[in-house]
Amino acid sequence: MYNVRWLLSLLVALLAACSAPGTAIAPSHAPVMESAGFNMRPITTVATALLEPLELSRLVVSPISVVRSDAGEQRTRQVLITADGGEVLRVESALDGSLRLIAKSDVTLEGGGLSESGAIARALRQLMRLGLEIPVGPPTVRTAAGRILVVWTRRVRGVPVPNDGTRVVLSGAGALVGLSIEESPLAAPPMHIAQGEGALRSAIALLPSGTAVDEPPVLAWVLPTNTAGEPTAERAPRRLAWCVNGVLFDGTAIEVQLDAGSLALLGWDGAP
Amino acid sequence: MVGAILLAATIALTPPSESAAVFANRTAFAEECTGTANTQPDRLARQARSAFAALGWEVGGAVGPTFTRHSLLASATVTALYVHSHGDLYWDSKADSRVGGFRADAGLCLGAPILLPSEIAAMRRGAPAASLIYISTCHNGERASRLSVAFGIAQRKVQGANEPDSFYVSYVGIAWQGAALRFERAFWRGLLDGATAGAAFDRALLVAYDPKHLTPEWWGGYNHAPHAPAAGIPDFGTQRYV
Repeated sequence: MYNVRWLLSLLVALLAACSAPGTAIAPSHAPVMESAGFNMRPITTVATALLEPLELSRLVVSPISVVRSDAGEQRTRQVLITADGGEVLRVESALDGSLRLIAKSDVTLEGGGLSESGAIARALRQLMRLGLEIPVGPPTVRTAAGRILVVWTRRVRGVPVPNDGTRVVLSGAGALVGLSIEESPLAAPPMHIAQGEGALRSAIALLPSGTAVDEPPVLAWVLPTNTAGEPTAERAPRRLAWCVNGVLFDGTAIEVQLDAGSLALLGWDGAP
Repeated sequence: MVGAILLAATIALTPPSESAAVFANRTAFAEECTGTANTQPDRLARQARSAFAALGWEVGGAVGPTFTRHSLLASATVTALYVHSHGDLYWDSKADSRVGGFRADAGLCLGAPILLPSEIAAMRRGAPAASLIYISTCHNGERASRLSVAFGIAQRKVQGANEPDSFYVSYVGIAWQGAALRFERAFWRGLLDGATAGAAFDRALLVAYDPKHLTPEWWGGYNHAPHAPAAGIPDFGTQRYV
């Protein structure tokens, strides 16, 4: 049923994109700018697709900068600002020119009672307008602080890569707040993958006695951490892991991540 | 005479209006309590402390066992506050309802003292609304939690005319530390980049955190710039595009 809804959303978005006004940028033909050796989509192209012509006339482009994303990826950043320096639009690209982030500022907070399928259709429409790849599979839809998050988690060999993938953030009325595309490097999977039962036994041995573990382990590509739970490096390749969730005696939720081959501890997370 | 002494004592104990405080519960997440070494409370507190300082605030507070009920209440009148701890919709017998709140560290794995909104409100009586309150705990972003109101911040989002000079952030439901770390880092980065609190929050929604593990919420003024008043608009220099 959910897949049917998603396919319907895709169809609606395709129709909407086809009937979009002539000002919409045809994505695959979007010019790619080569400036100071950088290969990227010019912010003006993105702005033309997202902003009204009157808005555009009042904006200026800030100098391009090279930044490191929160996930440690090197990116080029372009920013459109108003005459008084207020940021209106930010575009970040990977050094190979792939678009990674679009963030609009001051998108109105109005609510609109957008349905889940409506939000997916709007998100797909935005991706198509910008010429971005349509992610495979159905997304998850969540709300936070009046915004709607439509998230396609990246999957490799059928296994999710948490925090990677395509995320479109919409206002309650369906206007684009921003979108991001994350793609972390992955390590080669182990030659032999341990059984889930073995992972469960190893996790229980690591956790304090009294920890309730009710769910079966699941595979995921995780960021390895050191013994104190800190990532060894933000761009360290993700490794295939068995993730085991439990609840400590005081009610704290906890997840331990074990190497899918050796069952050595790779990382963990908790919820206060 | 007695009145003058009491007034002097109150002035001496009250943090200046330019001050901020960062509190984090380390013990409840430490290896002796959970079986896994955990530096995340320290990292979360470090991020908040650096951001507050860069925004021009004088930063106090406590991380670890010195984060007690007493130390928190003594800092309750600060203008900017960050707390990372266990949070829940704790029962307030005076209000006869579940009202939110969080636990102190106090060096205890279990049963650390709870700070209730009514106690914070009592300490803040007469103080103006706080500028920035970040309660990095479970449940205190829910409407049932009265914490934002205790800091003088109504549970509404305002953008445009008549915005309050305040911003409150917390989480709805269960908040995982890994996701909180990513979200908060992006939020602070947004502020240091010159974004308003609402825009920094929107930008943080775009970073790589698992939305199943975190549902952030805010109240206050979207365009509020939570820097210390005397600092004016801080010059972030090279940080602006870093």
